[in-house]
Amino acid sequence: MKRLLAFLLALTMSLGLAASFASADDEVVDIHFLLVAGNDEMPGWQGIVDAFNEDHTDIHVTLEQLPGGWAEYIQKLTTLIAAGSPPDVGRMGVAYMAQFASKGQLADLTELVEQDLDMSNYYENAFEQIKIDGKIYGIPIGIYTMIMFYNKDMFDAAGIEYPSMNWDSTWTLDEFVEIAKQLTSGEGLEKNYGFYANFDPERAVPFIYGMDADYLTADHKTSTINDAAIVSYYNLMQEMIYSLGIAPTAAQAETMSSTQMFMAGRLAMLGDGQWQMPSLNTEDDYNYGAAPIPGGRTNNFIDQYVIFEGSTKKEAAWEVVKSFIDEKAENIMVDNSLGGIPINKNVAQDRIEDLFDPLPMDEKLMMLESVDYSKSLPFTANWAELMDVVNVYTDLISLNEMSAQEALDAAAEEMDTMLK
Amino acid sequence: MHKKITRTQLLHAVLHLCLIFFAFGTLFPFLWMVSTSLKGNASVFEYPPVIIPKEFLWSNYAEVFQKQDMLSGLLNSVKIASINTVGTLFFASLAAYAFAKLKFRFSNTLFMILIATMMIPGQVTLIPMFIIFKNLGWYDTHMPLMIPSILCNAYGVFLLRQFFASIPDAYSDSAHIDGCGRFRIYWSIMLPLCVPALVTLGLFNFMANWNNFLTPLIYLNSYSKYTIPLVVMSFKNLYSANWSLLMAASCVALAPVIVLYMFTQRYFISGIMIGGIKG
Repeated sequence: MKRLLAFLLALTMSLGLAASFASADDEVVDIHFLLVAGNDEMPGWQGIVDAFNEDHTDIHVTLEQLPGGWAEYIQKLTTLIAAGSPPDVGRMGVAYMAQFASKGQLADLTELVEQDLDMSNYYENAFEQIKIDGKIYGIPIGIYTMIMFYNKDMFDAAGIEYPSMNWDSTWTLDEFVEIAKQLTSGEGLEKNYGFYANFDPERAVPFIYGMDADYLTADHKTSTINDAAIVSYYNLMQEMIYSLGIAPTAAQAETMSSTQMFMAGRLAMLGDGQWQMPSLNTEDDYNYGAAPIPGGRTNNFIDQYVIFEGSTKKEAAWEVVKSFIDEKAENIMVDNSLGGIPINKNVAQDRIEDLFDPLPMDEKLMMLESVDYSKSLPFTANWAELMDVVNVYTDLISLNEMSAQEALDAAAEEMDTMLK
Repeated sequence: MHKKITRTQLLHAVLHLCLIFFAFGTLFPFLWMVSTSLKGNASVFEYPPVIIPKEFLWSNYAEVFQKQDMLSGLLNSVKIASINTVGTLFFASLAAYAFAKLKFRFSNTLFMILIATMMIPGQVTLIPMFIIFKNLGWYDTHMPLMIPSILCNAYGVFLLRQFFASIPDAYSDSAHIDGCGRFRIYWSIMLPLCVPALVTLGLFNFMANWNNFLTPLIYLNSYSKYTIPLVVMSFKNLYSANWSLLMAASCVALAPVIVLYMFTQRYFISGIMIGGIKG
C-alpha cells in the first residue's frame, strides 16, 4: 500500500513538473473564447478570430462553438464557472448580463474602457446603455434596436404616404392608429390588418419609451408597470384588437406568426428588430421598408463580449476583446451580416451600403440614427423571472380577460415583492 | 348469427377508425418533418400549409452533409451509443444477477441504496460530476458520456433484477449440481432466459444515449467530438434558423434509430409489457 502511494505521489509530481515546463517553454498566451452560435454565423466569428491570430504572435485565440440557444449556453457557462474553469472570453446576451455581474462572475472593464478606447469612434450611447450600477462589464458586439417595418405595397394600395424618417417628427399615437385603420381591409380569413399589437413587455417597450415611461424606477427597486402611460398603451392595444378591429387577435397570431403575416401582405405595420431582416428577406415578391417607432423613441438589445472574473489571463483577454471592435474586425462582421448595427461608428457609416439591404438609403440612415434615440430595458439579475410573471398578466390583457389597469396593478404588486 | 358478425365487424371498423386517427396524430409531426426537409426555405411557412411540396428538394440532404461534418457526428454517436449499450447490458445484468440470486449480507440494503440513487435529479449531480471528470482530465473526451452510463445504470439493474427473480431457482440449482460455477450459471443459464428483457433495456439505452443532448453539451468542446444532437442543433442560429436544413439533418439523425427499431420491434413491444407488469 505504502509503495503504491509513493508511486502515485511520484507520478503526480513528475506530471506537475512536466506541465510547468511546458507552460514555461510556451510563451504564447492561449485565450479560450466560448460562443453560442449556429453554423451560418461561424464564418464571421472564425473570421475575426483568424484576423486576430494573424496579427498577434504573443496571444492565440481558440474559438469554441456551442450549438443551441442562450438557455443551453448559460447552463454550460454556469457549470464551467462552478467548476472553476470558465472560458476567458464569452458572448453574453444583454438580458443575462446583470445576472452574471451581480454574482461577481464578470470582470469590471470600466477603467480599461476609459483608458484604451477612443469614444469618438464608437456609439457612446451604447456604452452608456450597457452600464450596470455605473460599471461596464462587457463590450458591445453590435447594436439591435426596434423599428417599425411597414409594407410599402399596402401603403401604396391604400394611397397613404410613407412615414417620415426623422426620429424627431414621427406620427403621434393618435395619427398612427388613424393610419392603421385606413390600412385595415377585408373580412374574416382574408382580413388585412394595420398593425400587430405585441403584448410582450420586451416588444411593447419602444412605444412606452416614446411616452416617457419605463417598467422600473431608476434604482430598479420598484415596479412602475402600472404607470398611467403604460396602462393607456396596453388599453390602446386591447382596443385595436377588440373594438377597432385593426390588429389580429392572439389566436390569429398563433396560426400565422406576425412576420409571416407581414410577408404575406396581410399586415401593414410591425414593430420589431433588425434581427428579423434575414427572415423578412426570404420572401422577395413584396416591398417593405423601415421607419421610426411612433413617439420617436425606441429600445436596444446590446449583446456583449465579456471577460470572466475566473480567467487567469485577463490582460490578454482584454487585448482580444478590444480588437474585436476595431475597424478590421467590425468590417468582417459586416461582411458576414453579424451583430446588427456595428458599434464602431466609422465602420457603420462607411459600410452603410452593405447594411440593411434591401432598404433605401434614407431608411438605412434612419436605422443608424435609432441608436441615439434608444434605451436599454431595465434588466435586473432576476429579469427572466420578472418577465415570466408579467407575461401572464399581459397575456390576460391580450385575451381581453382582464383590463389593463387591473392586470398591470396586479403585476406591479408581484414584481415589487420580487425586487425587494 | 348473421347479425352478430356484422356487429363485430362494425365494432372493428370503429376501432380501426380510432386507431387510424391516433396513428395519424402520432405520425403527423414526423410527416411534417420529412416534408419540411424537402422544401425550400421560403416555402416552409407557406399558408395554407402544403404537405407534399411542389418540388422535392433532395439537394437539402446533400447540403446538410456538405455544410457540416454530419458523418463524424453520426460515427461518434454510433460509437458512444453502442459501447454504452453493450457495457450497460453486461454490468447491469451482472449486478442484477447478484441481487436476485446470490445471498450475501446487506444485499437488500445495498439494493435500496441503489434504487434511492434513481430519485436524485440529474441537475443536482451535474456540477459535482463535472468537477470530478474535469480533474480526471476527461473534459472534452467521450469518457464522461460512457463511464457513468455503463457502470451506474440503476434503472437497468432494477429492471433485470426483477426479471431474474421471476426465474425459478431450480434452474440454477440443477446447474450448480452439474458443476457450474456462478459465472457459468449467469452466462449460460440466466442470460439466455432473459433475452427479451435485455433487448428492451438495450433499446431504451441506445435511444437514451442517441438522443442525449445535455451531457455532450456540457462535456464536449471540439466539433470533431460532437454527437449527432449537437451537430443537428448547430443548424439553428441564435436569432434565426434554416428550417429545411434543420429538418433534413433531423431526418438523417433519426434514420439509424428507425432502422434499429424495425429489427427489434417484436422484442420492444413485449419488453414494454414486461416493464409494465413486472416493473
